[in-house]
Amino acid sequence: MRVESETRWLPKRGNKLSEYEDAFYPKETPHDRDGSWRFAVSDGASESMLSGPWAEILVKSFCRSLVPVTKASAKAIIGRATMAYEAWLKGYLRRREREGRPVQWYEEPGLNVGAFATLLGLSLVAGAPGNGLRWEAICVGDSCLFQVREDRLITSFAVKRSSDFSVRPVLISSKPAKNQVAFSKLKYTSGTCLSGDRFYLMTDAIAAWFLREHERGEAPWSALEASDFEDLVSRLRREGLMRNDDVTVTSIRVL
Amino acid sequence: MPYIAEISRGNPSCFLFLIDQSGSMRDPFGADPSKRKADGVADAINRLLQNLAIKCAKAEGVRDYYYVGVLGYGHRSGPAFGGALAGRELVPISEVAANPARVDERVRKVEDGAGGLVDQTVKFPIWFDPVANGGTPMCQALTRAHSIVQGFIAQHPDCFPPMVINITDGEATDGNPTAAAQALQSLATTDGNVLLFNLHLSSHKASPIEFPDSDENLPDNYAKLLFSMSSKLPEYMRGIAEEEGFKTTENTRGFVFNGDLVSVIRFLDIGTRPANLR
Repeated sequence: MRVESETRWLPKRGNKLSEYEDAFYPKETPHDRDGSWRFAVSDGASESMLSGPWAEILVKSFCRSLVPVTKASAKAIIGRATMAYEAWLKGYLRRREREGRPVQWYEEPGLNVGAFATLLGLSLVAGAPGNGLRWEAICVGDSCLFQVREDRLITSFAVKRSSDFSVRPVLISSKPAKNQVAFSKLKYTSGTCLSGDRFYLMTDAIAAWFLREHERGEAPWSALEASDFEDLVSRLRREGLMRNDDVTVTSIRVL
Repeated sequence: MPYIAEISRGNPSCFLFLIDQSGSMRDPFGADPSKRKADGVADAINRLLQNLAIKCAKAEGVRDYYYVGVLGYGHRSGPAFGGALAGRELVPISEVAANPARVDERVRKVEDGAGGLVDQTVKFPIWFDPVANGGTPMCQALTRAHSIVQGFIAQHPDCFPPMVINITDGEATDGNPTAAAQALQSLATTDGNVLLFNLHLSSHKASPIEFPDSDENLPDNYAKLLFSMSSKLPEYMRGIAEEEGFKTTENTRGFVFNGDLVSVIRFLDIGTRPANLR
């Protein structure tokens, strides 16, 4: 089996590209790790400081892990990511000093509180019956995984109904001591995939639109495949059909 | 539906605080004799400006989601920022953040990450110092607020409606403020009318009346006057007030009578928490 993927993304309307705070991995073509593939998206909380870099570290940590996906290994990945973030943060603060832009009083509370982000990770592995692929996913927060087979939505993880998107989802903290709730709400699921299946990993604003459309009996994956992404997102925002927020969609096709 | 506009750098909103600086503000709060009203209010405003700057702070700098002004009214009336911002009526939050009049240092206990507490020196920026001298020219303050807000709306006609918060401990000495208050509240953006909230402070040990929805239980005509001058809470703010434990109806107004320091802080927090800041 072959796997093709593409990620399309846009920052919130009104923001610069550099102010985009979602993250996704891999950046370009999917890495075939001897017949297995990993993908991840993360939504950095706009209210916290440096959530973009934290989201980047989370998706990279998930995708580079060589251990099979389980709740326990996901927690270990997150633990290691917090250490990677601490190391990155030290370097960042030193760079700021060198650039003559030391941390200001109004940044200190945000830095003390830490960065927050969601994480949605998907792994595709050979070994399902009939030469198929098995898939496993973990998530914390409201970024969503959708599986579409023959024009039907067969999986929606972890949000099942568009009304379930809340203003304050659970988030992973860059400070290990603050992740008890995140760990208790970490979800895992798995399934099989057949040739022709599509997977989508999305952050919440576009995931909410996707689920609402599906609930109305529509096939939002068709709109995603057929439309120019920027045109589609602009129109949805303009018509009030999608909240103005960073948008990230990783589309995967199993062939 | 009003009061739903997204607050962004392209479409900022504004807060304007009117602070009574009359002589009686020198007196302590009724419920807390150790704290002078003028000091309590100055502290609360400084803390609020601090929190607003922190809320708008990102790694590249403070985002100008808000413009802020503080007008004092007493023996002297006018913009009350000190330091580099002196004389300025409305200042973008990034400039507020960059220009406190001075930065005090205070020691605070914070968690050390291992279950204990350590002393941490925290910077406490000060923009506004307490003043308490003279009468209470509230009408004049409301009129000046009108011109400031009108100017802001002219530049940002689609903004989330500006919010004016009047903090006073007594009656106006320059006439009946009703007309000036109504003129202010009649200003509007495409997202709704300007909001005017009134926070009255007491020197007596009286129970604060917070967010009432009618003037029935108000103790006197002065309280009823301030109530009539206060805007109803927008829908989203009712939600915030209820989260804080207040029962509200669609007639609930942004008004506190006989407030103490705690109710000052709570009122400011509820009033300035963003509906739609992303």
